Amino acid sequence: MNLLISSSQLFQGKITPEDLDNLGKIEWGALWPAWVASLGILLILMVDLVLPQAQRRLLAWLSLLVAIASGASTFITDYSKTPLFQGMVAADDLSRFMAVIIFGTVALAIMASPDYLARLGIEVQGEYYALILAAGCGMWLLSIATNFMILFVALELFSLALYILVGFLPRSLRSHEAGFKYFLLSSFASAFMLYGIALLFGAYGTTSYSGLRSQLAANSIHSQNGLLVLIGLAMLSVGFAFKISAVPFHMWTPDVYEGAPTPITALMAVGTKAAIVVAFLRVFNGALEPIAAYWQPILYVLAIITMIGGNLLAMTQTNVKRMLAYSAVAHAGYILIGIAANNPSGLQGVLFYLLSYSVMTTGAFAVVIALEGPRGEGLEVADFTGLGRANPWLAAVMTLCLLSLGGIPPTAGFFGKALVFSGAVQAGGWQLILPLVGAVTSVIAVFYYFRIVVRMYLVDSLVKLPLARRTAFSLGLVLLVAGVGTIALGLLAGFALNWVEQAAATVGQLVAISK
Amino acid sequence: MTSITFTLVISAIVFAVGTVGVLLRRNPLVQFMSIELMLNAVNLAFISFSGRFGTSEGQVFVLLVLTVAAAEAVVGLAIIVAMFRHRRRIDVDDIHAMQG
Repeated sequence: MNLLISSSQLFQGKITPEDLDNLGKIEWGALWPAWVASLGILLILMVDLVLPQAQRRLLAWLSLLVAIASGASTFITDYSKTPLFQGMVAADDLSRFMAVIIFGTVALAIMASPDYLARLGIEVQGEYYALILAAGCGMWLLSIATNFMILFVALELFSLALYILVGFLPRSLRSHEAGFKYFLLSSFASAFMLYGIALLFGAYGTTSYSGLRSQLAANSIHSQNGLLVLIGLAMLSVGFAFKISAVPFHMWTPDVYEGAPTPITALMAVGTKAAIVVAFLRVFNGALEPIAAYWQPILYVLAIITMIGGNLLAMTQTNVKRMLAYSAVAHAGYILIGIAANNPSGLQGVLFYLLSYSVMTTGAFAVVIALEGPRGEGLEVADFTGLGRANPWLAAVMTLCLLSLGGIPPTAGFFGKALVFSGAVQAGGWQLILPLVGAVTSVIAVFYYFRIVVRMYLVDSLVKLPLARRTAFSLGLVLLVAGVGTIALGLLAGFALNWVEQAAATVGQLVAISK
Repeated sequence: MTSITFTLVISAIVFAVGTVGVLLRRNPLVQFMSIELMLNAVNLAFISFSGRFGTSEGQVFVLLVLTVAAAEAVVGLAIIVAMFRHRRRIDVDDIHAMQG
C-alpha cells in the first residue's frame, strides 16, 4: 500500500479501512540510528551555546559518543526484513551493515578532527561536528531508501552538509574553491538524476523501487513507455556516475578531495561512496533488475574506463591527497564490476569491498592528517621521505593501508578485489574482460602506491625528515582501528563474509517480499 | 498535441537550456540560476506526469524539490559570497588554485 493516497481517491471517498490502518502503522523503531543522530545534532548545537570557549573540545567527544550510539542502536532493533513506512525505507541486514560502516566512518572522522582543526588554528565549533553527524545521517538514509523521494531527500541532506564542510577552512582559498566546485557539480548531477526519476515516474506512475520493478517485469520495454524508461535510465546512470565519481564524470573528485579539510576528505571518500554504492545496488540490482540487459553494458564501459583512467591519472600525481583521490576514482571502477555482474557473488563482493575499502582508506588519510602542516604543506610524496625512521608507527600503518589498497594478498583489499572479480567470472561472457582489465590496472596501482612506501623506507633521509610531531591520542586511535581492521578483515575474512552474505541477500529480497 | 506532450516538450527545452547554461556560462551566479532552471524543468515534468496518472505522488515530489532547492540556494550563495570576499571576483575561469 502506498503512503500517498491519490487525490481522486480522497475526493471520491474511495479510502478503505485497510488504508487508514496502514497509515497509522508507523514503525518508528526501525530508524533508531537516524533518531539518535538527529537528536545528537540538536544536543551538540545547544551545548555549544552554553559551553565556555575553553571547554569546547568536549564537543568532539560528545559527537563521537552520538556517532557510536547511532551505529550501535541499529543492533537493538529487530528488523522485520520488510520495507517499512509503507515501502519508503528498507529495514534489513543491509541497513544494519550500512549503519556500522557509515557511523563507524563518521566516528573515525570526528576523532581525527580536533587535533587537525587546532593545528590549522580553527576554534572548535559545534556546527562542524553537527554537520558531520547530519552528513552521516543523510548517508545512512540514502543507503536504506527504497523510494526515490527518500533517495532524493537523503542525498541532498548529506550533500548540503558536505558543501559547507568542504568549504569550512576560513582562510583557505582552496577550501572555498573546493566547496564551490562540489556544490556546482553535485547539484548539476542531482538535477540529471531527478530528471531521470521524473521520466521513470512518468512511465509507470510510481516512485517506489518495488512498484517500479513489478511494472518493469510486467511490461515489455518495447511497449509505448519504453522510450521514457530508457531515457530515464540513461539520465539516472549519468547522475549516479557523477556521484560515485566514475570516469568521465570524475572531474570534481581530485579538486574537492584536495581542497577539503582532510578528515572531511576521508569521510567523503569512504562514507559518501559507500552510501552511493548501496543506493546504486538498491536501484539498479533491485528496482531496475528486469531491464538489466540495458544497463549492464553502460556499467561495463564505465567500469573499464574508470579503472584505466583513475589509475593512470593517479600515477602522475605528486600530491598524496590528490593521488588518493584518483585512487578513490579507480576503486569506484572495481566496485562497478561487482554491480555490473548482477549476481549474488558480485553483490557480496561489492559489500565486502566497501568494508575493506573503508578501513584502508581511512587509515591512509589518517596518516596524511598526522603529517599535514598548518598551511596544508607536507602533502607531497617527497615529504614522506624517511618517515620510516622518523615515525615507524605512522609509516607502518601507511604501508599496510597502501598494500591493502593495492590488493596485496593477506590484507583486506585483496579479498575485496578477488570477490568482485569472481562475481564477474561467474557472470561469464563479455564480463570476463572486466577482471582482466582489473588485474592489469591493479599492477599499475601497485606502482604508484609503492612509490610512497619506497620513499618512506628506502630513500636516504638526509634530505629532510618529516616533522616529528607527536600524534594526538584520538588520531592514534583512528590509526589503530584502521590498521587492525585492515589486517583483521584480511586474516579473518570468513567472519565478515558471513555477514556480507546476509546483507547482500537482502538486495533482491526487498523487492521479492513486497508486491 | 496533447497537453501532457506539450508541457513535457517545454520541460525538456527548459532542462536543455539549464544544462547549456551551466556548461557554457562563466559566472557562478548564472550557473547557479541555470541549475535552478533544471530543477524547475524537473518540477514541470513531475506535475505533467502526475496529471497523467491522477495521483498526488508527483505533486508531493515537486514540494520536496522546491524545499530542497531553497536550502541549496542558501548554502550555494553563502559559498559564492565566501569566495567573493577572498578576491573580489567570481568568474569561474579564475577558480584554478588546484589543477592536474
